[in-house]
Amino acid sequence: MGDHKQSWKDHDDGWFGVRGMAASREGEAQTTGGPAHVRRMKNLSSSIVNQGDSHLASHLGLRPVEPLRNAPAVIHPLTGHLIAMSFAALLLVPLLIASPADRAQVGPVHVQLRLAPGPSAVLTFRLQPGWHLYWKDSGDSGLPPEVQWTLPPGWVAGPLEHPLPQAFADAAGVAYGHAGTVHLVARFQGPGLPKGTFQADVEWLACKEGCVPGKASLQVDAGRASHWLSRGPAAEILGGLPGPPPPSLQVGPGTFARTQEGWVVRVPLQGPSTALATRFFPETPEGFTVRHAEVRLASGTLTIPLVPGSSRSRLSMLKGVLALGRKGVALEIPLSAQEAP
Amino acid sequence: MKLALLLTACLTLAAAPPTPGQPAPAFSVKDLKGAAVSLSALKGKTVVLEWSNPGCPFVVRHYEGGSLPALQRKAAELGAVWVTVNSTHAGHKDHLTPEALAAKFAAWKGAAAHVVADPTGELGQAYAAKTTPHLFVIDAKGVLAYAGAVDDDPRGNKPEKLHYVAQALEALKAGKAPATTATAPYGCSVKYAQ
Repeated sequence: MGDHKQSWKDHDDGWFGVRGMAASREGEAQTTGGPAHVRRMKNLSSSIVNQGDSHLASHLGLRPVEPLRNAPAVIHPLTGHLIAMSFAALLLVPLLIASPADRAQVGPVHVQLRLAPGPSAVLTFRLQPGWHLYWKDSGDSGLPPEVQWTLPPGWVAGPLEHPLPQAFADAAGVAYGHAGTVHLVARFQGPGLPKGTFQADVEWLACKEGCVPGKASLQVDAGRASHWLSRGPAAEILGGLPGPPPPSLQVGPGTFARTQEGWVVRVPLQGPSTALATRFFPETPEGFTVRHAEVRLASGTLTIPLVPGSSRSRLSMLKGVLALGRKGVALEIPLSAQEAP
Repeated sequence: MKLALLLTACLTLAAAPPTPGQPAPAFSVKDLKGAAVSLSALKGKTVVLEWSNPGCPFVVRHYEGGSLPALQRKAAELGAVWVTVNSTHAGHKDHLTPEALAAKFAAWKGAAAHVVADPTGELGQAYAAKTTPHLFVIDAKGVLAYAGAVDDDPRGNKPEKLHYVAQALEALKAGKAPATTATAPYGCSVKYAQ
């Protein structure tokens, strides 16, 4: 049975071909989805950008604002509201047309791109309270952020690196992600010192009660000091990324066993730091599904139940991040089939 | 001791999600038009269960892009019975009344044989439905043949996709087992009551 690819027409244009999408590109923002207050704000912003504030009133279905010198002594509440909105619009215009931008506010998410020593790039997401975005393996639901880089000639970017995630459990399952402020890092390789423009086209999914996808096109110029993170904060962010296990922790090797419900991976942890381990965040191995809600860490053993995707599924390694106190430890655990007792 | 064992057994049963190759959990529900839908009455036919929530952007993408309605029509052509289930609980902002739910799928040209509102989440939890969309294909004998994502393209931007559900339906039509029986579903979490 060969790969079954595109056997019939489907008109799938991706996130950005459909409604329900919050978008921001070069300072311009528009959306028809998202929470009502965000939608109102965005509609207001795009009408300012696209039509200018003189058209705002008709866009909103209200009568035009009278010139101020003709304003009646008593300003009608609606008119007063409109005047206030026009002032707000005037204040917003310089922010919205400043492009290309190194940052964007898209619905509940503020995102900023900065260069850092390494050289590397740091994407800083600031989420409104209650919202989260997703780790590189989003768990039972959600979608990890993705970035497309446009870099100066000769430069390449590594994958997005995430700090230690947290688990978001609900009745549907367990998702892995980040809330509050989160810094994602990409390490660059290139000729000499960074010069010129580094552009990130970023897409993400943010969820609270519901979910809102967003995207932004961000640019920084290596020649501008304000586009660089200073050494101290950069070192803190890069140093906080998951690293190799400390000498005080020995991990694995692991085994897997086939049961009626699927496969079960077991990994022994040993050493004094085992007591600090609180949770394991597995990366879904190719060809398997992880039963995330049933991943356990007890008595010094990690237990990860998996469902094989087909009779061809093979397992030799499991990757993931172990929470050791507040620090993440990146693990690549070799696995072998458990021998029959 | 006996009680403890019994409790453990119950918890295990409640927690054990259906695995491909095992019998699919039985159900008997009414669709939005009041018609009875039960797995036992559908024996002899392939059944597709699709978890949905029109407030989820992944669902919006698949319906506005036309990919799920196209797959529903294809399933009908292959003789399968498609049941769309919405397990969004009544207190959630995405919850729709049965009338609004029916109108939404009609506007999207949904071609499911049945649409079922499951605000208690009972049917969803029986299948451990995790995401919208999350798809289950049940063979004519009532055995779960496939569980997981509709395709391998969570972002909806791959030029060539693996259509897991279409693949499973065609395999069953040809009297074969699907090559892929389980994948990780993608999408928003099902909005069960907490």
